[in-house]
Amino acid sequence: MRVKFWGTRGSVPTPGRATEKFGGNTTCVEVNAAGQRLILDGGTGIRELGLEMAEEAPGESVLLFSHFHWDHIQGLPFFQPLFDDGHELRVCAPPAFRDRLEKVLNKQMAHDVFPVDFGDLSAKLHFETLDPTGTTFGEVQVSAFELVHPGGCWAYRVVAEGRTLVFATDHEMHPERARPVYERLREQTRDAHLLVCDGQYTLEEYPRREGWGHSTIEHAVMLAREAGVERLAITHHDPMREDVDLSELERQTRKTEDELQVFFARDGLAVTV
Amino acid sequence: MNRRRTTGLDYPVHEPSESVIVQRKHLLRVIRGVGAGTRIRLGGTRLLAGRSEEADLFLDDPAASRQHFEIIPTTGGYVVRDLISTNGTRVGKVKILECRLANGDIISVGQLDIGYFEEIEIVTPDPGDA
Repeated sequence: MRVKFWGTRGSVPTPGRATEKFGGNTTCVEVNAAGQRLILDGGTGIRELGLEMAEEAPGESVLLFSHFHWDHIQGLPFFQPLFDDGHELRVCAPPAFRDRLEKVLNKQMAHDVFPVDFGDLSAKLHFETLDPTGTTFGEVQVSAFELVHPGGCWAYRVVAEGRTLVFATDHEMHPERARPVYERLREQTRDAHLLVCDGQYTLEEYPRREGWGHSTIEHAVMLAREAGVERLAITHHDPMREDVDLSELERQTRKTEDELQVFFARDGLAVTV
Repeated sequence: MNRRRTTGLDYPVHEPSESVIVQRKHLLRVIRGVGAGTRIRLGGTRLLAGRSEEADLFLDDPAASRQHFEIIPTTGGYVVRDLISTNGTRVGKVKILECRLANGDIISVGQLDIGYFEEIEIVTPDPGDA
């Protein structure tokens, strides 16, 4: 299983010299396994993914959304394969989000805010409901579970080729106050080979950010350790953090964790799961 | 006339006049292991690193494969790609398949650490060229 991070920034894109290393694109993760391509979220990072895909023969991809906040959908109108009639895109969402899916994507390309209408896209789009208990794409099994985030958010557990990835962006962990939710999250993350997890804040910052819907780096590490995760990728970097800040946080986080392999995801990074 | 200004970053930048050329150099430097001190300037073509004779950067380490990694120029900067090496390629201690390089990144193969650095070069033409 090959995972590539195309966007790892939270909330808003942050281009510029001070964010060159970790990048400024918002969330988009590409998973290639067993001949399937899954795209997790359509933040601005999906634009560069699309440029790479435009150099390949057109084919089929699966697009899954964790939720519909701006930073997870805003790259889609610039996703080149959407304008290629040779390309097929299966756009999937769990039942709770399914009725909003087309409406939200249409709205993002409404005439007042975008010059191209959603209906004018050339690619073959199939809107599908994802069974959260398990949906199969070829030999890739995907299940979904809910996270705590304003408006709701879904995490995805992707299993293929004997490897497990869990993608859990945008959520606020409450190990004590929302114990059942945390325990479900931990169970769904159990023994994952790679956990991609929201770590927008530090524990020190969190009291001033409580209720904002995001987790701390420390909670992500705690979850990964308790769930027996092999590698943890911190993502959804706070837009105020520059490369020097993220590098230092990564260094400090690694200092305390010996068995768990932790890294801070960066745009353009591809790893094997 | 050249003016000196601060950028809010950690170094001042000369605003070039018409007669000064500012170039960015992209360098690899072996900073640990056999061949420490070796420097290679990256250009517009692919660089192959490994133990084979064709390698542009010879990796003198038993953990290195004959064709271990490549560095290729892209519109977004230089990208390092592991070439399905036996022992893998690490950037910042993370085992990678592919990674966009940033100033100061350390590429590791076995006991070898290779730094990627970006330097600013200011070229002032010889007054005799005028």
